[in-house]
Amino acid sequence: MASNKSDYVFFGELEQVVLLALARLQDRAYGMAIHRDIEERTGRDVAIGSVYRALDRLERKGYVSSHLGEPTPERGGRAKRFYAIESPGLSALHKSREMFARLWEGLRIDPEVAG
Amino acid sequence: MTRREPPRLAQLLVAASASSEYRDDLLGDLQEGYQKRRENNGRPSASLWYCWQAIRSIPANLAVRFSQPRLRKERRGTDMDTLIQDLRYSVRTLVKSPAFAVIATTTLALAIAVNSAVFSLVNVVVFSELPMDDPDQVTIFRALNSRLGEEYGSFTYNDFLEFRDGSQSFSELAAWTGGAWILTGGEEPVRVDGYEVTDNFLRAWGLTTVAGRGFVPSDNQLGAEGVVLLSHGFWMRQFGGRVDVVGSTLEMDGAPHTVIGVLTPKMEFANLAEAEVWLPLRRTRDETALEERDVFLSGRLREGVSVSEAHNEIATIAARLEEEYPTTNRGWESLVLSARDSLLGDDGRRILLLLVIMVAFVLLIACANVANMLLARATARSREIAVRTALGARRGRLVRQLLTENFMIAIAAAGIGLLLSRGLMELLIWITQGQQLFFVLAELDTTVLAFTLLISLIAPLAFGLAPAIRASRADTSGALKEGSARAGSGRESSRLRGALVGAQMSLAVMLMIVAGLIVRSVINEQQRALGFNPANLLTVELTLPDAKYADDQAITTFYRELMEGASGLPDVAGVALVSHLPVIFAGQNQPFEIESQPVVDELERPAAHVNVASADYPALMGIPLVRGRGFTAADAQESVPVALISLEAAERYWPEKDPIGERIRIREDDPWIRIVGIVGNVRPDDTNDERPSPHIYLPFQQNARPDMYVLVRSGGDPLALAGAVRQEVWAVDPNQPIDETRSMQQALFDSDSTTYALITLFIAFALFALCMAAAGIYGVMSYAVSRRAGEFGIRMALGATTSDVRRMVLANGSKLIAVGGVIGLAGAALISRLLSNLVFGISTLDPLTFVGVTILLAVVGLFANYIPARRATRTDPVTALRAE
Repeated sequence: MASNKSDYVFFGELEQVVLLALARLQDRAYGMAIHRDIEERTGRDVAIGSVYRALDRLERKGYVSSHLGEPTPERGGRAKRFYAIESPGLSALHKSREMFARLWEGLRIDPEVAG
Repeated sequence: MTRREPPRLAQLLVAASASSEYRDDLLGDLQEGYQKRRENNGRPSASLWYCWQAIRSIPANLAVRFSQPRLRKERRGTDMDTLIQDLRYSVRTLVKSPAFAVIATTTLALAIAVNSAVFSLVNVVVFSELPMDDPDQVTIFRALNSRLGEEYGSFTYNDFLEFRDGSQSFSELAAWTGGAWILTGGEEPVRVDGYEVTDNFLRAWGLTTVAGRGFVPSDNQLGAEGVVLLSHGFWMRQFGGRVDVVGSTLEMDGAPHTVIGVLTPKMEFANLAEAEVWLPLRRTRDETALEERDVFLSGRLREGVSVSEAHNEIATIAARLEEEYPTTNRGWESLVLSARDSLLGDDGRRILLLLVIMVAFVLLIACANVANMLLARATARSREIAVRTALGARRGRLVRQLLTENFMIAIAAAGIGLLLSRGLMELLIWITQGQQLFFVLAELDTTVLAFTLLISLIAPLAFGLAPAIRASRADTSGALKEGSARAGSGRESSRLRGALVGAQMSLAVMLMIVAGLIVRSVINEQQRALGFNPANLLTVELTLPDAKYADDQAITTFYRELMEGASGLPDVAGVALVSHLPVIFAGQNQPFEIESQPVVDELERPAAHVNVASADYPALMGIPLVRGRGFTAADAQESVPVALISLEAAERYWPEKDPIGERIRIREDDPWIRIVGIVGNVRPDDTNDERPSPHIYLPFQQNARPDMYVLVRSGGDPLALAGAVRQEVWAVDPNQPIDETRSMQQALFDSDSTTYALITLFIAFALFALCMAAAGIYGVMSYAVSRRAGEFGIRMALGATTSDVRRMVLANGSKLIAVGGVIGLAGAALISRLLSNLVFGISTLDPLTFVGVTILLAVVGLFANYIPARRATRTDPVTALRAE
């Protein structure tokens, strides 16, 4: 993916985390699943409201889309809202990774110090 | 039972802070997480987590909530999602209460079925594609004669010429008359039906040929070369649609006819659909032009001329013709109608209007019933709705959800209803033996589909909006607190249900009275004496071609040989000939002259149905000879002309004198005919005639005519003889086609088949209405009883007897029945006026029907009311009070 510097995107940490969770969960990505995935990988019990704020922003940017799924009894008969990454979201992830890769290029930081 | 719900306060916190868009998602996700944690770590930990999540989510939730409103491109998609969600939810709720779903759907399906069936009949009349080009410009003429009771008369050829030459209103005035020809040259002779038309007929109707040419003026010249146009259907059937048929020659009635073209398929409409061939009408203004009223007229209006202007002009000419040609035209009026108006007579229009009103009632009753069920359900669901309201569901959203459910019921009902309506139409066609074109024409087209869709969309609003709004208004705290199925239903709700039942009751009264009046009329009609014995009687219709049977001698020889042959068949008790089948069609009511009673006023002339019959006709039919003698072999062609008259003719026209020996004459130039005998009456063919119609019978020997019915009396099933009789016909003339062959009983049934079809419809409506009304009363009363169980318990504990309680409940129900019944009776008195031409032997306010229906409904209503009343008395005070 050829890109020049002006293409670099900045978006919030949680947004990136959520986007990565979406990529991982594929078609099983809905609020609680995303929340659980983040918790499992980061050990952080984020507020579900924050997850939705991130999803809301991502959706406004056109990075993700959502649709309603089946309601389930354990949700009190409410439907799951499934999210999927759209191609702008995917390319944003790639660009962000590339950007961080460039930022890290040649840097040597002792993990102990950074810790 | 452990509490499965997360902490309510925390839920409210989430619901309050979240934007409406994500509220359900958040609550769902949190509940899911809560359930998982509760299973793994126990309830306290799960509750703690839930609360912590709820609190921590507040800032993010508020941020989303107060962020710039999103102009989502997918906004429509979200609406769609809501719809899909609603649909899913509806399916689930309906599946959960199958009894409700099935009853509601069936009720509506039945109502929709009769509505689409009747609408498809209306569709034929109101919206059907008329065969003409700009049909509003095309008029159809009708001749009326009030004295002869003729409303659909045709015209003399002379009338046509006078109208054509004397009027200014029409750019084209065309005439046509029915005809039948025998087509030979194929394997066996076939009779083809069709019309003879003036050359401008196609121009008048703006029609074209699909192949070849139409008629030109020279085709109408007497003695011109034989030409024929084929109907599209006949062309396809007989010639496989081959274009090279045009130009070929057909042998019709023994003469060559060149096929000059094929008509447009548009022409296959109503009675014209049966026409196979179209020939030029070849007549001149001679004596015969005045003899028979056998041409139909149709005119295309000149630019800017209205139908009523054209009618006035024609009426003026018709009045002049009455003066000029008193013998043929006295008493005849002319009516000019637009093509569409002429499709259906006034009676037909009235029946159709009545049907439309009836089915609308059926639909209303069904809607009222479903509405009642929904009201009951709304009460039962008030808790569910209260919870959803508490969780932030907006009222509009709830109403929308409830209406979605109703629409689902209605759409399912529409689907089933359409199938049922097809079945109903098939039944009507079967009952009428395909004789009634309206039923056959009533096809399922897009208009009918659109109509069905429309009512299935309107119906849910009619039956569902009020219950939905009421349900959505449910008092949240009350419903949650009480937690009982009884919550949220107030006096208002039960009053609404009562009103619905009252309305159902009154509609049912109206439907049943109309059905009752019609049934009574038909019974009265059927009870008129037939005057003959229709059992074991075979009727074979024959039309001898004019070309081959040019003179009376040939005709009488043919029929004599046929009768001799048929009499010799085994199991044949007798054979006779008659020109018209009694009851089915008695023949034209013809004015005649009595020698001893010179007529002063043409309008005062006596009239009777003139039938030609063979000597043994009365004996074979079982029509008694009252006085005088019957025809004998001595009444031959050269002998003195004789006639028999019916008893009614004798009593009506010779009230104080013995008609035997009197002389009458039907046409001015004919010789006088001596009356030699009086025979019994037969039932008139007109269903509206209470008195038997006067008849004159002329002997076949003296009045040979080519078209006769051969009647064969058999010892057993008359149809078993049909094959043998046909063979006898072909033994006399192998080229003679045979028209309809049926038993007299079948013929009688066929002639009343439309009535039977209508009766079937009306009885079905009435039964439906009765069942619905009974179910409605039962539903409302048992619901009321269950609500008041506690009250009854207390009353009985305080000493009320079972009969006191029963009386109380019955009194309540009776009030509904009485109010509904009175309104219904008043409505029925209004509607039954539409029946004024249809009732027979009773008034439209027939007391027996009105009282009978009232009693029947009261009994059914009270019975439906009695069951819940009895249940009320079984209430155990202790149980009832505990339930409170």
